[in-house]
Amino acid sequence: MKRVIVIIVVISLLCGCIAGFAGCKNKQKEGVISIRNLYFENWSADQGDSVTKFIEDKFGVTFETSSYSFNNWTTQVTGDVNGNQVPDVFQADVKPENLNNTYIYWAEGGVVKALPDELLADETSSRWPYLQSMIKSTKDVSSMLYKGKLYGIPVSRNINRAEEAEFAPFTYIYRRDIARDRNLAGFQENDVYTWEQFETLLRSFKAINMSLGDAEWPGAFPSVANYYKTATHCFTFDANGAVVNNYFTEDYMAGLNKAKSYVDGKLYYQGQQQSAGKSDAEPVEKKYYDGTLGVFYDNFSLANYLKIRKQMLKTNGITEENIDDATALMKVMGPTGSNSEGKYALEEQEDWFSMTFLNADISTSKMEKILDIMNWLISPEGTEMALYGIEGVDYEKNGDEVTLIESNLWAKNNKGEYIDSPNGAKYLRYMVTLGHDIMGKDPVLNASKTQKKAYTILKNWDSFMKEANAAGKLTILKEDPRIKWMTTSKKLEYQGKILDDANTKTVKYAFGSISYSAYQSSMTDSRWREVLAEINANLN
Amino acid sequence: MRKFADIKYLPLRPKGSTFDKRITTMDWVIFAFLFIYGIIIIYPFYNALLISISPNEVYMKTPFLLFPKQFDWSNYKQVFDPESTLWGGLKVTLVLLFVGTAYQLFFTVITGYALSRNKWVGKSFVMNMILVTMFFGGGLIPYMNLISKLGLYDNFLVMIIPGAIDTYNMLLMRNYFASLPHELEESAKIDGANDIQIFVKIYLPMSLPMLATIGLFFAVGNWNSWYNAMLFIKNPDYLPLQYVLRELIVSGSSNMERVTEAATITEGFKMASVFFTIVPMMCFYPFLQKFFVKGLVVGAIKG
Repeated sequence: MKRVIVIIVVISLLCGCIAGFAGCKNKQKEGVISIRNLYFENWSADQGDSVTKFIEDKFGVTFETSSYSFNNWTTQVTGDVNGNQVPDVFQADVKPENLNNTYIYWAEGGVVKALPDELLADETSSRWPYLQSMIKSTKDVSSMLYKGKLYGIPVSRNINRAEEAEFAPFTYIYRRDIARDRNLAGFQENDVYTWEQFETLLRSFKAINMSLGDAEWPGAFPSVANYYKTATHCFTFDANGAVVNNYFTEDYMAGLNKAKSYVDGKLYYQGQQQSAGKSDAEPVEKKYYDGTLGVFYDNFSLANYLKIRKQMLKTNGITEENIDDATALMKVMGPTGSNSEGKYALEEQEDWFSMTFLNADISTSKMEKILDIMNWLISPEGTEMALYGIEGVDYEKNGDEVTLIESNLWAKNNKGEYIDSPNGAKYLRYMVTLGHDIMGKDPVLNASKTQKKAYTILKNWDSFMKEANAAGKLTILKEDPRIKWMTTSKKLEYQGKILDDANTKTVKYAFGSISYSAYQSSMTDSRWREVLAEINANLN
Repeated sequence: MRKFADIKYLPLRPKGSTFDKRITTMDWVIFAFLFIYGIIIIYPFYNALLISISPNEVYMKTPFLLFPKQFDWSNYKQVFDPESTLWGGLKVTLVLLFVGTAYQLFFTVITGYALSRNKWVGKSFVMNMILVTMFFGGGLIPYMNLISKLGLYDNFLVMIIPGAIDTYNMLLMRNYFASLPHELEESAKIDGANDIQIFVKIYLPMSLPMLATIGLFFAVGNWNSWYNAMLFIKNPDYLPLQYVLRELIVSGSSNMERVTEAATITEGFKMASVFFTIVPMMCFYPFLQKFFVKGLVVGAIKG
């Protein structure tokens, strides 16, 4: 009897294993579109909001949605790919330094589907005109072609290209309230600073035990080098037109030595070294909240700027009345004799962030359906739905004037502000764009005083810099796109490592942890030499 | 034999010494070392507690507190809010705690028992195959592949099934069973008991302290588990408490390029969430600590 039981158990286990292996493939159902996106967060299609239902009915599909966690994004994407659990549509962060093990690896390995050529064709497609226009207007999209095919949709920051700034909002904020109230030398009421005034203000802050700090993300430190260097990231050109290490040019070294002198003179926050580039370190921004920093450099996207403002409001007696002064954006012109030569200096901003990929296993008809949906989402009709919901139910339109109707979508809280209710069109749109085109019109943002104020401040700064650019007073630091997306073997192999290494070594050099000769040998090691030789050979 | 009355004449300490004199300089050094070591361990918990009950501006001005300067319970109100994501995580973790622990205990114990018995073909082969997994792993990617092929991706069971047998604990169990007299088994057989009856009625009742020890190991492991959820779970309803906590803790450093409420979470709220997750374990631990010690000792001396 015992033997019989044992045999039955063993056979059951084997059957279970075989069945499991046989059913390992991620099953494809035509009418169901599974999507995993970074920005879905707590939204899910099965919450059944009316807009999602409207889109599902319109296209005859059902959405199965899930979200990546920002903190585990890469790990989770890698898990999906290696576990053969890639949803029909998924979002991944594609950068030059991970191009090889994401985009190229997936395209070669048959993980992601090539998009139809008509999305890149010169003549306007009759099927997906909005999507085609968005992709074609993406800067340097041709660099992303692999064997002549595009494998992912670059997620546009702003599908309205005319509104988009060429530069990133990587800049300084400062404690204008303290600078003005204490009558600090160098302080400028209009926030516009020459380099000399900026330095004077830093010294004044130092006198009251406040310093300059750069955010902890790799490459933020040393922000002052932005005024000296000639390009972003790893590579730039020398006077002879050869590609050289951007972290070891005369210009860059002048900027790095300037930063070093600020470190030595205690103008820089001395805890910067521990934080720079370390994701688990205490964020430098906290030092801005607690009053250690007088000036702080970071990426002031609306999300980050709002975060700083909200944290400041919880700190040190900062109120809605003085929050603008406590988080004022600076406009700093570079030193004479530097690359920026008395101009403002900002880094170029890609007009896209991350890519949306389609699973290689989906049928052509399903791919076309997904592209139909994406195209519609960024059409005027889809855009309006992402903003206001369903016409006649959630809003009424009279000419250009939109009146919201109190509905499930536009319920209000007890302060009279709109609650951010789930709107499927708004979230599904993140497959294609970050939605900067509709941000300023968003009724939820406009109903919130805090958000609207922050948005307006950033917009004003943006306009100021656009005008400066038009007047030739802004240097935009770029990386040559031919080099940036070059897919040569050594570059693909080493670029991530040499970039990480360079970011670490700049901090160490500035803080005196390594000598100039150690820095020099690191910036001229065999990896750099091989990569540079390969790039130069390819460009010639 | 020495009589009880003689005991009073035993030299309890060297003649002429006093209690104070028995404490040497080295004792003071050891005492100081242990005291500092204790402070190093306890202070982060204490500071986290103070941060969780202090207004944010107090924390910002003095991140390291010795005493509470002001009380602010709003963080705990937020944590215990019925809408808080921590409750969802707690439900998942409680299921993991009870179901997962029972499941792991069952498989670990029956495997340990089977491997402690003599005379069955292939025993050493099975034992070696299990032992290999203690020293060599397939790596993360093959593991992901395996999970996927077993159909456990985005499946609640992925947090339970792969942990069925813990090799180390199984060895503890095996050694414990092996240490019990074989005569028990023989006499039970003479009385007509079959193998299952011998296991259930003789050996299991005698192994209760060991079961408690191993069960506690599993329970603590399940309470703290988050990694499998991070890798394999997409459905937010299946995320365990520790994963939810982790998301809260690291959310302040995210750079999403989009406006999110998570980015404005205060340190106080984070610390209150930390206490929400550790207090249940802290309450039970002192009562169960003796089993941990027992488990370590048993595993160390039996072979």
